Amino acid sequence: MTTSTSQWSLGIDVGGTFTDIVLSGRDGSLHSTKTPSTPDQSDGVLNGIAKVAGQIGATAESLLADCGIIVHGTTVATNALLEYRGAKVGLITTEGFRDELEFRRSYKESTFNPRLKAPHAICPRRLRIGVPERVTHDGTVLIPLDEDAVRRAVTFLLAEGCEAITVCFLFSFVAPDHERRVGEIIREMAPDLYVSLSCDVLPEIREYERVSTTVVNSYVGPAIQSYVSHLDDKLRGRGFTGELFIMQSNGGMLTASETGRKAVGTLLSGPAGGVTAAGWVGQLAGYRDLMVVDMGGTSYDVSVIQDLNPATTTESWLARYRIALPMLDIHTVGAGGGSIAWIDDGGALRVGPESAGSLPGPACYGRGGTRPTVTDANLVLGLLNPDFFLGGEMKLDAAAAERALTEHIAEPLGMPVLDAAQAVSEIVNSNMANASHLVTTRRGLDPRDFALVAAGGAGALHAGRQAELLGISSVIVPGAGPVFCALGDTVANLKVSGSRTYLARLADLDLGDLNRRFEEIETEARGRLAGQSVTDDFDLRRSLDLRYEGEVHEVVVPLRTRTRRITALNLEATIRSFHDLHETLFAHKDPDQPVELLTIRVDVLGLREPPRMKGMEFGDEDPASALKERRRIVYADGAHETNVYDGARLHAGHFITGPAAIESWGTTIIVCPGQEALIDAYGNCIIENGRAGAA
Amino acid sequence: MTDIQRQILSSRFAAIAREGAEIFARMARSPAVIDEGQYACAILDSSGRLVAQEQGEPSQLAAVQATVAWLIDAFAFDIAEGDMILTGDPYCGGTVCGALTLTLPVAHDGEIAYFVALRFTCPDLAGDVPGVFQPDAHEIWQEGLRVTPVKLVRANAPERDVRRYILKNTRAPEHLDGDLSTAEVAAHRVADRLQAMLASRGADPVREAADYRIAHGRTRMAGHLASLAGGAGEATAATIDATVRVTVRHDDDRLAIDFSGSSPSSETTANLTRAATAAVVLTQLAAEVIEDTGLSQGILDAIDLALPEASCVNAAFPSAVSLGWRHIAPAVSSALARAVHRAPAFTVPPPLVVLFPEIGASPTSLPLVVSPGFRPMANTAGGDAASGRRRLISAEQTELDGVLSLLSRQFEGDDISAEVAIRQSGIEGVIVPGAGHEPDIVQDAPLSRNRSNVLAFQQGARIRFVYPERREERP
Repeated sequence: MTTSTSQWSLGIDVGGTFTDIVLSGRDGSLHSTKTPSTPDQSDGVLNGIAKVAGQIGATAESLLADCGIIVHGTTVATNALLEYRGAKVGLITTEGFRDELEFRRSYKESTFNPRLKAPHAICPRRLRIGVPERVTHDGTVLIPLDEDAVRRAVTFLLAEGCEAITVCFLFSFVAPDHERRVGEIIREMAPDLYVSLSCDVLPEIREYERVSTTVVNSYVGPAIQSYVSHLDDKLRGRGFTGELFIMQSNGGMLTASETGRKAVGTLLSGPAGGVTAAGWVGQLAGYRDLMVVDMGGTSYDVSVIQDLNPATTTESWLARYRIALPMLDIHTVGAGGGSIAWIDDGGALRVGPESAGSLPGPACYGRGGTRPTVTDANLVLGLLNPDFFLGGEMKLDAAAAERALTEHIAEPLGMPVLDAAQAVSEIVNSNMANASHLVTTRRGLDPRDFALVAAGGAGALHAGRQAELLGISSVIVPGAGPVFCALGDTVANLKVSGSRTYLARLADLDLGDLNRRFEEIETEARGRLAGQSVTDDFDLRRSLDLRYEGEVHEVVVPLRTRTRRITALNLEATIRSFHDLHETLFAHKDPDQPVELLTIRVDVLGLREPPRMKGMEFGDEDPASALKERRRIVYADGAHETNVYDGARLHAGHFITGPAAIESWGTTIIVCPGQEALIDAYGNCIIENGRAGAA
Repeated sequence: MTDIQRQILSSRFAAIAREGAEIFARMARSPAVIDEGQYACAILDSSGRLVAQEQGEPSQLAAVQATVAWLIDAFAFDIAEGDMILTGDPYCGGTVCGALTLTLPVAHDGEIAYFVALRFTCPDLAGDVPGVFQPDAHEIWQEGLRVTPVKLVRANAPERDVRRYILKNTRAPEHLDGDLSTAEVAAHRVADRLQAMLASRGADPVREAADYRIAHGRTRMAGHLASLAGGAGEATAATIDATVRVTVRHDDDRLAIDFSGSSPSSETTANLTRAATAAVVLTQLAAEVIEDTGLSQGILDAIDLALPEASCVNAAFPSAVSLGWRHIAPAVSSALARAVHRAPAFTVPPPLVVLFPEIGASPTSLPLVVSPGFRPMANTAGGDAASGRRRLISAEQTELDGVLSLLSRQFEGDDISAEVAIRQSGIEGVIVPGAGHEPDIVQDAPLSRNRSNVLAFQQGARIRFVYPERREERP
């Protein structure tokens, strides 16, 4: 499967604070480290490589020389968009439609507010130019492309200093010739300019969704292209001769050069590693249906994996721009360790979405924060050890946490500070459980059918309680929790997603034509995987976006075939799957109703050999040797004297009865009363929840 | 239970209502639901108090509770688990003909504990011309079928004759049938969630949580209204159809709003029902609270409305009402805004065109509401508060649907202009008036008017719309 003979592969995830590195050996060994992130992310990456090389007694150069691939999760594109620091983008579009990007189909994030501020204009009006051309829905050219107008537009945009140009014409997903011709003209006039054609980025119906996705591609493209090239140069300068891959928002990885062309696909590059890791860890632990939660300082991310396939969506918004490419479906709520607790006008206790962030941070950080946060509540409840935060690298000020909770919550509500802390904890737990309910019920799923994978610094603190609230039986706290996304990078497959709008009633479908269209997309997708030598083992996954005639929302239905050609029987089976899936999602199906096809999709996966993990031998069950102390911790059902274990001293087979706390660098695992935990052969903590019963 | 436990449990009501609304919105077929957000999903207690509601746009705000209150009264002792009641009457707590509310009682221990209500606007429910807008109507019967509370399902047995009767009185039976089924599915999902909550937590804690939610809404509104109290006063706003006069007085924790002196019910369709006027008031004065905590009876009760009988803000039966939301609601918003020194939430909408196959040519007809733009305001996103979750048509999707091509849509100065071309023959339509100029219609043959104001369009006819910029009316 893997064609490389190198000994090592590296997974690297750059976050806001730390750059995480996982080194995976062909012999199944795993090494990891963290290093502070740097303004030029490549500096932190190289620092981290040097640090992890030290763990195996090597230098960065010798490690890189024996490293076949590096898979990198980067926030360069995400930050460029979120901070609106992307390229200066010009848009050439069909005359009469230059403002679709700004109209946003009149979408407002608030139902009622008539004065909701418009999003920052990443392509302002004067840089959006309409040119005469028009193609009809069947591809007929109604108005020929005015090439002189195109040249004038390009000249103007270049004079304005545009660093990238987007081209998006109506119906280019049917007839891309006009867009392609404009691409040629731009390349003639400015060979090095970054150009995005909508027929390449998202060849699908609906012009707003397409133009928004393509403009974002141009906006973040130059930054990611330059970063990846810069990093590649630096790595090669230090002896790297392997291949550099970038994690994609669809959960797969792509070569650096392909990434540069479709930069919009890296907007979830970082979190994608976490979801991929969850799938891998879950599989090792024997689970195929997983709910992945990641609780950091400001937010709580929830996503689901069904039968080891991460859920994706084409309905994402980021920085208030619509991204219609398939991306992992990660639902975020403002519930993190830094989320601030406050009392609203109606006397209700609220937590978040405002966050104290890392500066000033929670009151207990002692950096000037005075408002109570979830972390302050956890400290007062005893869930956190003030002397062992980040493994003791940072002391927490319990008195400051109590002061903040007393002043802002306990006194106004007339309750003891401990009750106030418990209330904050229960409210944030409830908010997180509601988010998890939403993510599953939207897909017609029941949270009780999933195992919970808890990641992020605060994830394991709340996971046991989440399991109780959601009625989930098993929780997996990965041993590699602190470097979880980087772990995912090391196990990701190559993945290219392609799609085309294909409008047809299924009853009238021309199977020959459908097969031809699929083949075109597949050929193009395989072309994007050419040039890499990591794998020659490919898996093809096809799907159809189907809906009942008259409905607006489509359902993505996997197409299962034994052959490359889709037969009438395959199609019939797919239609049956559609009806069943519709019933799962919406509690309703109508097999007599006509079904229509909207979009065809292809995922080509280049399968990598997963790391050969060597499971540890199980030792004795008794974890007494790892016991650090006993302390009083307040849980949802009250206070309990609790055994606190040193995570570093626990080994495979240790069995822990709740209530218990396991303290490791970067995270604390809470095993609630009535729960049991086992350290598995891969260092993961598997918590079994005896209490179920969420409404 | 502690208040914190009540609060946590009460948040489930909002989450369940939201889930019901999402399911309905994703499965619905009617353009009014899909493109205009004209739907709501609500949970009410056994006495008809609103516990939680999720909606796609503001006209639904007061109508669900008012409609359920009507049907509880209408059926009194003849309502039980296994029934499903349909109501769609502007004079039974509603807003316009064609806006239907499906209500499902949820029983616990043999007693009705809650009601689930799904409200949506269907494409057509009879009337003078296809669609829910009836610009030439003078009385309610010209606007559509009045669906007074009627059982669609009785003791779990579908009342097929009732459903057949309803579906025989629409020009879009497939769409209405589909949306009724979808509403049933969504209502049952919400009912199942409520039953699960009752089973796991028990009836008393759930009731306490519902009470908590209502009380919290009331307290939030009291604080919010106090912040408006300094601006309480009187104001008048006029449209071409009517004058709206309002006096706002802060009285303890409530706001008393008196519309005495407003114009009498119009002989045209420019009238609001009581529930529609209440929706404008809530949007103008309580949108922030509703957006933050969700709607509940506590919020509805915080405002006392004095609406003169037979006025443009409380239409007298059998007045027509289909254009009241377009013509009178902005005046109500404007008068209230002046009275409390705030900016108005609504602006007068520009005219729109409703297209349909030639009347009488076909037994079915799906009207197409054409309004390809919105009134923009500098540096803001989307339209005014009345727009809710409205979504502009896509040029590509519209052309594929076959009736129209969108030729252009972009800013022209500070306004938005848009032009469409009709691609089929045999299309008729009506212009629904609004602010600014009527749409310019260009076609080779003279634009003939059949049957009062119905226009006959030629294939290739072009219609040009202008959406004037919204300018902030300074408080």
